[in-house]
Amino acid sequence: MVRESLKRKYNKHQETIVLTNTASSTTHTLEIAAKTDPGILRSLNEDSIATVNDLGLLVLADGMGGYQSGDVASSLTTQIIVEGLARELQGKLNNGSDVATLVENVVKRANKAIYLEGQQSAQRVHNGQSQAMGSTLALLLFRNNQVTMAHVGDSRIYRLRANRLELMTHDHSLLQEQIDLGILSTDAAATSHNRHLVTRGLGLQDEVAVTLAEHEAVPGDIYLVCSDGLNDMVDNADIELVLNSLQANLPLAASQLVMIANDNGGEDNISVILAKVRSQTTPEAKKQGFFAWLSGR
Amino acid sequence: MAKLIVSQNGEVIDNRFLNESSFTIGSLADSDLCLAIEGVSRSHARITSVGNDAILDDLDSTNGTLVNGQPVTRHILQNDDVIEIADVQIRYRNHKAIDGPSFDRTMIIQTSALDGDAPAQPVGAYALATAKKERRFRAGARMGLIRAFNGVDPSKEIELSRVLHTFGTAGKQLAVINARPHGYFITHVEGKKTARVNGKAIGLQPQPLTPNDVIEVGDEKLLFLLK
Repeated sequence: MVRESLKRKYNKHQETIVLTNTASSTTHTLEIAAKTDPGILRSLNEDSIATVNDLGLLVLADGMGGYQSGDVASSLTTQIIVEGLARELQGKLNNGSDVATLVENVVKRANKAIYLEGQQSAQRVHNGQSQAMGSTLALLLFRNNQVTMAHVGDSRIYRLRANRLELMTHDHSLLQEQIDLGILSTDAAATSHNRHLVTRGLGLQDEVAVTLAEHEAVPGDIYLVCSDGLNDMVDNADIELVLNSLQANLPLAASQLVMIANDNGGEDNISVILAKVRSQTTPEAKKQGFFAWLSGR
Repeated sequence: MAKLIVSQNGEVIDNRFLNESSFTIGSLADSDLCLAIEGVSRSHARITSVGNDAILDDLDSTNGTLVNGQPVTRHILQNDDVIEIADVQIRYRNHKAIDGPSFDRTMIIQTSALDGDAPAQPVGAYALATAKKERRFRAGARMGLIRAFNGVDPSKEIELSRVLHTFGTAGKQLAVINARPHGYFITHVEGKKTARVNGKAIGLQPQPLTPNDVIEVGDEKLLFLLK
């Protein structure tokens, strides 16, 4: 009983804080930088990325499937999700709608559309012969100082908070399952040949399980969304080093992550999206100076 | 498909394909590879195929299992590995287990039994597969070195061993030096003015560094050298 009343008190307290915040309009803002690159060894880039700053939305998709269908699947994924969420979120500024459910529904719609497209193109091209086409997904949606994450497959979301890099997603991959089951150690996994085998993807079946999470977005946080072409080539310590050292220049951080992946072999397409949460109280003059500098070359 | 080539006294005695998910080796008659030889335990070892991998397990055998001369308990087989059990050599051949870049696109495998909605885990507590080995430097490349001219501690010297190092003052003027396979490069990070190399502003594009370059960044004056 005591606990419950304390909890209620605490919640009330929080509500007050939220109200004050809204009144003085200190909602966080987002700085976004993104880069995608085919890598050294592949001519085709089957990754697709999209960012919508007004919505606080970042979407990354890594396509799979032969005959360039991976390219189609990943483009469809980002397109359908961006359009769907733009429509759903319109006019719903700061109300208490369940953002996670909204995201889940839009992702499931994208899955169905890609699945149908795959079946139709299989009929067109190979006269009914099944031709798998799919895509991974990693998505961030910043709303009301919260961030909603969704992922399917082995594209990842990391967060740098207090100078420490944390992996926020759990790969839907065979290798990760083996590690979870204790069959393989993380060291042994480095010698595995199962790096690219995913256990979930958009467009593979008519239904898909989406992993969702919600966290508070804290000013100073830097989020990284990436395809496996980055985390297969650059170890976590180096990713952390780049984000820590170059957080004052997000576009440079993004291009250096891609550069290092290519310097290490660049065996796959490499895509990175970076988003830095800023408190709106950041002196406007300083920000303007920064952007003026960037564009004033 | 992965293949095992079994030899004894230098002669090939058997060839087997790993076409089942579990392949047993032992002196028992119903082993997939029956070796009725002295020194082989009844259930000696097992090879489990998962995706592109074949995982070798020693089943607590009396005399042990070697791979390329080293005793193992569990090992992910690599193309051309030689398994030794008693006086028998078993060579593993699998073109999908050749080290180096894989041109396979991300492929899809059937969802396994344990999939479904796994319980939520605390953030950052995940075990994760690490990146492939680094190959950042060309063999014989010389390490870069930064020596301070007139810094706070004039004797300080920094080896450029990491993939990048920043110099200068955060919030004022900052530059980054990258160690790349073909040399060292300096790039502007932040500040109204860029750092200078040999008295010349570096601009916004990366600039290659050559030994004895003098770098001015923030309040620091630095000398770039190769070890």
